Amino acid sequence: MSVSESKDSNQTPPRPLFVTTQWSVVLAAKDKSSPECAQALETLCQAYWYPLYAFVRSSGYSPPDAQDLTQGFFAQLLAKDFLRLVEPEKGRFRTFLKMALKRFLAHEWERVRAEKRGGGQVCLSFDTAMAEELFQGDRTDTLDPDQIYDRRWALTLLGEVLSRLDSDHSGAVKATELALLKLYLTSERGSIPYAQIAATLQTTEGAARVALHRLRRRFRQLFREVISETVSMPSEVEEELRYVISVLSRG
Amino acid sequence: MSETAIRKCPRCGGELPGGPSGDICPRCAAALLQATQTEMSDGPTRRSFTPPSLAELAPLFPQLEVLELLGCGGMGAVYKARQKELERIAALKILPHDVGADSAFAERFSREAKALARLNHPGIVTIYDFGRANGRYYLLMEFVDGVSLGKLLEGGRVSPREALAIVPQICDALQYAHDQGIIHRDIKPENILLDRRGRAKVADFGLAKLMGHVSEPRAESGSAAKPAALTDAGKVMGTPAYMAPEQAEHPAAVDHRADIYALGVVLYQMLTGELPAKRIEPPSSKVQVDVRLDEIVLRALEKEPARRYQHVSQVKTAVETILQTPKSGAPEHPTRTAGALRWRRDHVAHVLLAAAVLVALALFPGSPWGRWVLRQVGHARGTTQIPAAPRQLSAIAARKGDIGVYLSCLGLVESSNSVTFSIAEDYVQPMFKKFDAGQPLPVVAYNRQATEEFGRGALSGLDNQIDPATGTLKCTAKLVPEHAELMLRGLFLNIRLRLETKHDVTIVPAQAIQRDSEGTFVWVITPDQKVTLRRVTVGAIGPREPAQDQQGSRAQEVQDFGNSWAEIERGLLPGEVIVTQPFKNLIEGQQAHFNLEKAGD
Repeated sequence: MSVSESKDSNQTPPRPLFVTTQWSVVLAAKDKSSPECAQALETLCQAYWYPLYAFVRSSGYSPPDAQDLTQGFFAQLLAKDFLRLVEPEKGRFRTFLKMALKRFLAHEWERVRAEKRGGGQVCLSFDTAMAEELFQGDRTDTLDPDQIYDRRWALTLLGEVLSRLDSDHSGAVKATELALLKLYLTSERGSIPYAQIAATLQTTEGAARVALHRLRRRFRQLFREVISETVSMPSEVEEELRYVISVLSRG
Repeated sequence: MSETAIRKCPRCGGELPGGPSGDICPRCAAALLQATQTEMSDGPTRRSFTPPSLAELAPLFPQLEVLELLGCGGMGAVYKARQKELERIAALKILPHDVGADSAFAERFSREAKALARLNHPGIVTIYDFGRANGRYYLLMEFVDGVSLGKLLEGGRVSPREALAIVPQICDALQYAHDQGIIHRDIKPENILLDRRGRAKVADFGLAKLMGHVSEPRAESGSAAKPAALTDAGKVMGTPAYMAPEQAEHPAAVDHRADIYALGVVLYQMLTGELPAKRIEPPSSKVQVDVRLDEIVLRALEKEPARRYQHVSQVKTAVETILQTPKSGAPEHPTRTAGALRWRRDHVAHVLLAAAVLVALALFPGSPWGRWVLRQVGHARGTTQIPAAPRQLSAIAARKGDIGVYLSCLGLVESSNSVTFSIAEDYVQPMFKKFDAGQPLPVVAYNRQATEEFGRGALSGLDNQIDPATGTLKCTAKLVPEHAELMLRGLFLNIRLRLETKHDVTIVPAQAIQRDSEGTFVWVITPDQKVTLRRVTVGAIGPREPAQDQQGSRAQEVQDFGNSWAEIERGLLPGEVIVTQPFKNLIEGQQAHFNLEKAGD
């Protein structure tokens, strides 16, 4: 999977620079129907489908319709003729997807839905039961579809970062260490029981401190990395990062 | 570890969202992400806090329109705000909640803030106002539109030339403050802001002292049961890596020479990209820089204050001496070129690869610019291609000041009259392959806002000059002489390029313009067209023979795109599409009319 490729190339800690990303691969590809381009887009869609589902649901569609629509949307997005509309000016993947979805909902869903009923292909599979369970927990009463979309987008990014942290620590010992340290990832400085952590991990307090410090640094670094994969140019990373943080800080 | 049982964040009490983000609370994650690198270190710094939301701040500051959160760190959260009465943009700093826990704080805050507000220097971020709102201390400060040196250094070191351009400015600011008896105490790259003109401004003067009350050990020495946060802060305040040894040992006895030490660390970091190690290696042993800089850095970093420079102005003098006198002995030019080449080798692949294409970005509905809608499509040789999708949705509008194609990329000043920059192949491919590869493409380098022109050059041989190793295309532009000095002094690394097209008279073939079912006119620029425009009006004109409906036929709907174009030329690129808004009142039989006026007319 291309996600792990980009991770491997980024093992050295200070790497705030922009690398070629999934989204910029899509944008820069001259031949939108090339396998790399399709693969990159599919990887992105696979990771970010839930915010779209939440958007569709909160726009008032029933769960079965929302499932059809989300899948129909991806089916169309992944089709070649839709990719033709992907342009360098489109900027962020987050806004591109939302815009494309809105357009899709406004104009084309009837047709796509009919096609699907008639046995049209679904390009992307996702866990609809999980989606619906998540959606039940979403604050549809206080947030509008756009806000729900952005919130879920930010949370999806966060989830992606955590899963990359997990794959960083794939060894058994490392996984145990991560499971423990993750509990304190966001803890306040004074409240971290380093001695206790050190005892559990059978290491020194100093080493526990360093380990948590590294974990936090890696967390930030991965966050930036994940975000940079969804924008078209380096100058957007900061702004998008700031935006996502502001969304997250609303809880 | 049970994932499902916990629904509330144990730290902030907020609800956990569930789903793929698992058991990490988004608010706390946001706070962690906002925390500065400093807080990430295990040094004795204040913990990060959750910044208040814009909605929470609005009732506290009726005189302000709080626009956005700019950043958050141990010293508080900073917001961009607009002073309603003055219509001035300012920065609002909210100090963390826990600083107010100290009863002596209010008095000290008021005293210190008054002293800080008296600092009036172009190199110091001005304090406009300060006070307390709903228990939260705040400072209203000058807003600096630019980046912090810290942000800049995230990408590694800066060039020696830039470092030397920045340092004297900081020296001036610090000397001024020291003359007023004010010590900064927390000089670090994050506190040095660079505005868009490359001017350095020092922020957060005295805040370390204010929040850590380092100079007032009396206030707490007798108290045995201090709140934890105060104990933390009371010990030492500052950022460990930049802190003079005496600042850590005897925080109360610190004088202005601690700032000189911190400045030394900053200079070291600018030159080498690293913080000095315990045993300081001279910068010239790590990177290719003038060895005379070693002396400056090492002297500023003397452990014993008495052995350092005694005044910041001395640092300035030393730096300026290096700037003004070429290195004796070794010829200066090769050194600089070698340094520049190395800089390029090290960074081009990363930083300059980041060159980006910026094409007319935001859509402003309602403005004439919003109606001037440009779309980039592929080659449309021969026939016009009108995509079936509704125009408005996929439209990208040109904004005032956006001209043709912009590349936002980083440049390197090679000498006093030229700037070199590289454009990533990724971006060259889609954007420039449309142009005849044999013809050099004129470019104009602008500052970031595209208001000042800095140089002119040409991109040529697009196909064969792309460096296969870095995937970049190199271009050199001559600097406009009056800006060369500014360019060298400041950090005009972010350059916009404009591609210039020829000033041909434009004749739009009628068949090139089509109208779709929504009443939108579409004009696709074909590859053989070279279009330069000054003034564009697009109008719907009633039929010559009045139809039965008088009202409708007389109605003229003219969209004038000319108003804002007066001072700029508009180069249209092959494949671009001009799309109008739908003409609502257009009736059958009316004609569309594009009125194009040639540049220079």
